[in-house]
Amino acid sequence: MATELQLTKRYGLKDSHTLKVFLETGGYASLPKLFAMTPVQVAEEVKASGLKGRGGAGFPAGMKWSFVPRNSGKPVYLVVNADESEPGTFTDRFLLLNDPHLLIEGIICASYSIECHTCYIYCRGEFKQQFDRLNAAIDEAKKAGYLGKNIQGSGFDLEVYVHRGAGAYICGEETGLLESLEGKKGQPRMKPPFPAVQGLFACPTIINNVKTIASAPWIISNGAKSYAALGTPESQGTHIFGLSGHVNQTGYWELPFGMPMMDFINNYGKGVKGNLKAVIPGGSSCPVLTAKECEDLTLSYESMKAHGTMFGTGCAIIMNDTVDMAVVLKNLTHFYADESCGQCTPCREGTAWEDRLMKKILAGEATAKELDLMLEVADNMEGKTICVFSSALAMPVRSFIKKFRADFEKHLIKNMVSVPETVA
Amino acid sequence: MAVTFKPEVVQEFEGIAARYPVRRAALLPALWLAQREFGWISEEAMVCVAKLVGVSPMQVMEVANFYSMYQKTKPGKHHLQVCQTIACLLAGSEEIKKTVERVLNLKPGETSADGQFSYQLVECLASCHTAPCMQVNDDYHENLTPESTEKLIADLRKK
Amino acid sequence: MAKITIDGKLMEVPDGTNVLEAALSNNVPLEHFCYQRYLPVAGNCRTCMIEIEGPKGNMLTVGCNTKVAEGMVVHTVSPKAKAAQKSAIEFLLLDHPLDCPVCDKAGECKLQNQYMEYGLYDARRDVPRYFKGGKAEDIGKHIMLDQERCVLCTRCIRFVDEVPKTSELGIVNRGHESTISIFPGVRLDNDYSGNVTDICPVGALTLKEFRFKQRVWFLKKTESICHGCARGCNMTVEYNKGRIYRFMPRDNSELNKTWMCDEGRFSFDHYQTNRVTEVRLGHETKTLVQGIDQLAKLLEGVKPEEVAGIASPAGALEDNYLMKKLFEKRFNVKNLAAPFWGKPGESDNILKLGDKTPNRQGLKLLGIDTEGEDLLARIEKGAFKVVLMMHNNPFGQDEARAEKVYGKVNALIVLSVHQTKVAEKGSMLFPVRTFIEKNGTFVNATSRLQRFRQAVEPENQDVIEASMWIIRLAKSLKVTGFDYEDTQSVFNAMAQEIECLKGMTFNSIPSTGVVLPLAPAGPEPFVGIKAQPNVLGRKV
Repeated sequence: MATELQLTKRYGLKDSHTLKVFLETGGYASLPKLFAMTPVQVAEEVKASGLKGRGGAGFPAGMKWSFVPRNSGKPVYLVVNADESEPGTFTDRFLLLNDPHLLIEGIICASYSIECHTCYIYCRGEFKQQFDRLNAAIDEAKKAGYLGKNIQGSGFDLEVYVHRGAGAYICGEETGLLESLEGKKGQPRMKPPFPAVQGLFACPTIINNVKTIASAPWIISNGAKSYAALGTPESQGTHIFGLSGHVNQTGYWELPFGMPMMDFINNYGKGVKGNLKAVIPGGSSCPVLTAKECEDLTLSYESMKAHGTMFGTGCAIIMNDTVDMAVVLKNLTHFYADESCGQCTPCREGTAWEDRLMKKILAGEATAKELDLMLEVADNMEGKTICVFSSALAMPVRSFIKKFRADFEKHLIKNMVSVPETVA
Repeated sequence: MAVTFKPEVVQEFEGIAARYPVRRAALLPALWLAQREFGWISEEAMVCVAKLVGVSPMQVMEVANFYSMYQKTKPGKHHLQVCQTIACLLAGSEEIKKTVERVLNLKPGETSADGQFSYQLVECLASCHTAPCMQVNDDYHENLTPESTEKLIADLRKK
Repeated sequence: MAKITIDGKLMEVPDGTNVLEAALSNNVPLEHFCYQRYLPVAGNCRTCMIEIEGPKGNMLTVGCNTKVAEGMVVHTVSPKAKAAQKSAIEFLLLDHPLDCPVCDKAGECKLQNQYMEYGLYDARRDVPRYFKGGKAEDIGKHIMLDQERCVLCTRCIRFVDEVPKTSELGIVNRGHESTISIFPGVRLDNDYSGNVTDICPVGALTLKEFRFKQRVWFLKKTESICHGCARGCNMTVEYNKGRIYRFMPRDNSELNKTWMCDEGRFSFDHYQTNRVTEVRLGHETKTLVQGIDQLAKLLEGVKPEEVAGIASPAGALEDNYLMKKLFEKRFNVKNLAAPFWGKPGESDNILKLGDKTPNRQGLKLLGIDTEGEDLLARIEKGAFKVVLMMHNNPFGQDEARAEKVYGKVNALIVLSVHQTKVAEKGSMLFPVRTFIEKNGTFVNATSRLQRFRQAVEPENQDVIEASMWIIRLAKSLKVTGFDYEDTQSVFNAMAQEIECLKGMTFNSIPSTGVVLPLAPAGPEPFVGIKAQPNVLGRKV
């Protein structure tokens, strides 16, 4: 059954990123219906659709939009998080490249709903081509009256600007992103206050992922009920899912939620290369799953949660049994130690400590003590920091060591297996 | 030796700064302009940017040093950024690293003596399904093999 | 106000207070690094971890960023909170150099204190240590930096951003490579640089003037007031064996907060050098008793109207009060004034004031003329045979004019702390004590009466307080009403005579002073600096 493509429908079309092709293929069609609704109605519609934040946190988008205080006297800002940097994730990249106007149309919907007149798209620094395409699309849209003053005669004004990042994973964290937008280091802020109340330039701000915003036009055009009818009762709509690693066909596909993971791997990924060992389901911050755990896993928020992991970005990394999970974890500890912003103590010191512990383990100089220490350090980091970056390392550390302990133990001195410390 | 922005660039910056209610928000764009105009972010460039944006030189240094894409040493004409994160690792990025290091005789962070090439290890470039991947200046090069990497370097040398 | 419970202790605090502040001001010790009550909250050290009871169970969070709410129940010593505090200390100490034996901060170091309080674990960093480099960097006129010791609490950065607004300091690089630094060539040379070493919780930023000079556990501390300008910043004199090692600012939320300017802070050596140590009459050294005797004989040989008195806004209230009383009872109070010709300095909108004398408002309170043009004119005309000059150096301030004015005076009697020009010119010179060697009070530019206490004794017992000198002279001249035991008694008696001081005693003055109903002579400090909202419910 082929679900109508919403986010990727223009991929593959020549010049899909231009206004001409966009309009020819039904672009900006949601606007008349949008402007006939009130801002509150729009938020309610999106709430009813069940659209969840696609950046990884999965917070209901319509609910987030309704948190914005109206009549605060301060300008409201919309910020689009296009800082896609989660290891394993690569889907915003093509939406920005192939269909920037769809994002702009979504921005208009969201901005109208939260009564915002300035939107910043925070685009990661490495996406230079996307940065240029977005700027070109904004120019086209302005000239054609889809941005700027009095959009399509609606009386609604909106300016959209692209702000280029410069290489820092932590700027994908919403308050780190705001700090970076304000011209500072991307060091996350403490919450409360929450961005919806005190965000960009201390004004009410909504930050949403590219795909979340780009999903809005279809919802407005076709109605919340139609969107909610797709996917599962708790994971509504469609998403762009990705596969990388040891599958015969890597790539990305737009699908409704709910497909069993193994069907996805076999039918779309054309099967695992070799024997399946482990799956990181939605970006490196998600707890890893064993092959067995994937047997009854579906591509949905609820199934992932039930399996003790997270849906995350919906891009899975598949690993076969040639992989040494200890080497993989070392790669991750290096990543997180490199990308820690350094602001708060447990994360700054903990990530570097974990990385050095993994180095010691892989060098064959460690005992079970180091393995247990890694778990303890992970516990000491998680829940005690300004943002959840520390959890993003703690969860892989815990899940890798717990589920694939044998891979680690084979690096230990004299192949010592773990012995409980009973000696005083 | 102090560096200064050309008047057109200052004007370009003012246009960018006007998009934000607070001038400091244009600091990252100002650093991108500096990198474009001067090739890299030297201490002199930081002082220049500080004056333009209206912050202290240390505040510029903090920002320039926080983000990995601002070059704090002069890069080569072709700046090779090889992804070392997990999906690329699984697809064979170690071989790509070895190839680059062998062909150019560079370690990560180094620039070739003739100024043609510099080499940096970076984190996930969002090319996981087309791994291994390398970014050269602004361009992505994906599905790399040791052979295609060697060819790429050879082609770049001709430019 | 909100009623909250911390560790079972019920307390009431103003709305908007954060939990850490509420704990500290109610004697619940909750250690912290990055929190400083007068700087914006950073919340990055994660050592003030507490548990707060909630409907879904206890929440573990930091105290500094949590505002109190009615009925809040907080635990600072629950197992979870203690484990979190301990792990934060462990993380901070992981790569911290064990410099204690050579580090000036030892004895007042938060890492040491917190380790003894919450840590006491066996070190277990069995992986190679990460070295940051930069051990003894000279980054400013007064400041040494040790980058390795820094715990990245950002107090120093927040300070230079907020108070002098010079932003010289910053943290470069990311993650574990984060390092505190200055921009090459832009040194930490603002007027308030010394404060960063107070607020640095470890020995990363230290004072050159104190480097390797003294271990802090030997230092004795006495409450005092800075003498450098009319602001009267509260401070502590820290000394050992009669030698002063440093001035440290003292917390006064209504005046200088926990800050002091560098000029005041580093003036401590000034009070220990170039002192007048002996009584000199003409070219001969005398004892104090001999000196007073001879002076009394001299004064008995002249008419009362032939004696003029120069009091001083650099002198304490007690000194000036007694000077005035002496002139009222024995000479003519019309012949007493306190002109002070020192060139005014620059006011910044932070703490420093242009008036470099600490007690001009005190003279106003006592009704002593601080202009004194009339008196100076009469002195110049030769109307006086004797001039008694206390804490004043006109020959150092404007030598030409001073020569003109005082040229015709037979006997210039000088009470001086330092060997200055006026000390040379005096026909009789009496050494007197600095404010550090005596008790006394000042009134600052914003009309705050403040007390300073004696810290050290001068070596020579003939060096006495100016107030005690006046009492001795008065007694020698057989003037009645000068039966005071000590300076405190002088204040107590003076307080009964001045309306706005009635009911006060020297010891009853609050340690942060009390504002008198006197029109201020200068602006409040920290003009244009955003107050931190809601520390203890007040904007500080």
